[in-house]
Amino acid sequence: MNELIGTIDWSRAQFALTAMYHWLFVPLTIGLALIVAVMESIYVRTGNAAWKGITKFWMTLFGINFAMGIATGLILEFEFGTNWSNYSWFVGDIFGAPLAIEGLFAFFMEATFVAVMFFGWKKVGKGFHLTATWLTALGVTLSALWILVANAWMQSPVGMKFDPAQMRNVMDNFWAVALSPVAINKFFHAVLSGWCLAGVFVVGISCWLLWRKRNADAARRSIKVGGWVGLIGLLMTLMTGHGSAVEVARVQPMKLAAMEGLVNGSVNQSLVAVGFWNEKALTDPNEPGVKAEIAIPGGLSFLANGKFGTFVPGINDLIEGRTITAEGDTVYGTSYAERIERGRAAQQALRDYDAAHSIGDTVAMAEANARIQENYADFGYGFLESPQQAIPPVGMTFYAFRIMVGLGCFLLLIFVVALWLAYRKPGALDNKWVCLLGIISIPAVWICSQAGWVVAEVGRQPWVVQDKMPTNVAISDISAGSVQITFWLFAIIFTVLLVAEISIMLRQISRRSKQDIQNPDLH
Amino acid sequence: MPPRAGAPFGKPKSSTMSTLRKIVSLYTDGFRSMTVGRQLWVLIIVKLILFFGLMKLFFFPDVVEQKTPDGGDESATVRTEVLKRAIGN
Repeated sequence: MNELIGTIDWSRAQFALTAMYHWLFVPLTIGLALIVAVMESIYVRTGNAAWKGITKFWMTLFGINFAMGIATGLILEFEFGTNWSNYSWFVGDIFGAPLAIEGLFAFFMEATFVAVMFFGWKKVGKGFHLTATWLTALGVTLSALWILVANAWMQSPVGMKFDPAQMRNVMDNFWAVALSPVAINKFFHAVLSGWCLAGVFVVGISCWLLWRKRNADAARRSIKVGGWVGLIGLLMTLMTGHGSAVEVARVQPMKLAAMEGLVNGSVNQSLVAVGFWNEKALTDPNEPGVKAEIAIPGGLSFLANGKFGTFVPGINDLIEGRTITAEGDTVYGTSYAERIERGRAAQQALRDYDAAHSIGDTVAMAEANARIQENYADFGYGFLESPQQAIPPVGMTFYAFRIMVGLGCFLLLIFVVALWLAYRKPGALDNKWVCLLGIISIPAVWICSQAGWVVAEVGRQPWVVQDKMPTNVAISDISAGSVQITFWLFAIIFTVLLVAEISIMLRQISRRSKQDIQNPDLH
Repeated sequence: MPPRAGAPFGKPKSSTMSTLRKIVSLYTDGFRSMTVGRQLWVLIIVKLILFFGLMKLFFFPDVVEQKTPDGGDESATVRTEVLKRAIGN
């Protein structure tokens, strides 16, 4: 058992490491592709060659980031087959189709149009080139679609039926998987956060140019485009974030409770703006969940249900199946203890199916399958020793959520200030404190983006597939030592690659900043 | 003949062969004139070699395939593995 726990923790750490490394590049690729397309559109519309130079400058940085991100996602697929083999088999059919589509679609679309973008300036007409740039932006956006659909399915498994013979979930409704509300929200939330991230990147680098007193005109123009794309992206990220919260309240209420440190829910539940999570509250009913709390009255009820005055369940309410109706009556639904019983009934049915299968008794197989389907909604609960095991790491989820929201507010301020200055007081953008603020917003936006994924992934623990498969079942029966070795190998390789890649990016920015960025023939 | 600047692909006067030639020259000329792109390609190739030639080959086997006897049923292997984790086993 200890060996298994070691394997789980190291596999989690390794997956988190590789996924976070991958996500360093993805949102910038998505957002910067759009910003470059907008800049080129301005060039084509106005005929002003300075915009062509600016487009080429940011296009080079897009290209470097694009190349840096290539193949980093492949590692995740390696890990599925080795560290997470039970999970990989269990979801194979659901993941296989979307990822195959993504691979083919993204490769051909990007390989074609990225080539025209970079090599085609003197080979094709302005309109054709601009079309290629927009199609690249569309391609990189759509290539994120399928992996996000797959992730959304893990958070809210729909459109499938469990087949005990194949021991996997078989997709029976592609559109239910692709167009689930969770998938739609997740896709837009992730893509729009990429716009915001790239907007901050452009504003931040432009601030650096202004700080170094290089290419001030190009920098101010870039701030306008980056600022608008980033601001629109951020505002829409907030909107889709609300949509995500509504979906989390519907399909993963325990995650919402963890995000808020909500141990006991109430009607007109407040939203914690600032506070400290108190771990003791999980075991001592006299301890508050959040200490030194500053809260927005009724905020969580509105966030989760779109209405003030409604009930939001806390961790204990969910475990006990307790809810409070609009009339104020306390009603008990299915408790986690009952879900555990149902999960165990499904497991027993699976054992019976296995026994019947080994002797070829089709009647017994059909009977066992019927019992599996009857209890399959709670299949994963059968692996839990107690209801308390269904509680995610509350502290990490709680703080990551506040880091994401707090930094999001800071970035909103950055965009508003940057745009206001760019239009009303362009000279003030040269102020070193303004520049410094722009520069420090670059790491801030990456922390914000990563924190969002920590909320999404840590907050859904212990589930790998919500309610169906917990992490300790998803893991392969391999030694913790072997996972440790690959963890450290990755940590070293990724660090070396990241240093090399960032140094290429910084060298390019520094070198190009010494030239006239607005002169398109110098790129 | 070098392609005319600004001429989009597929103009009526272009034959299929000349269009193909233009496409090929887009890539060959583009790769030749790369500057920072060369370093990036080196990095991409190093990454692919490390990931596929080293990591995948030596450290990331397909566990279900490994645990299933030759000619055996992989779904049975997973069923056994999953049920092994059930409480009471």
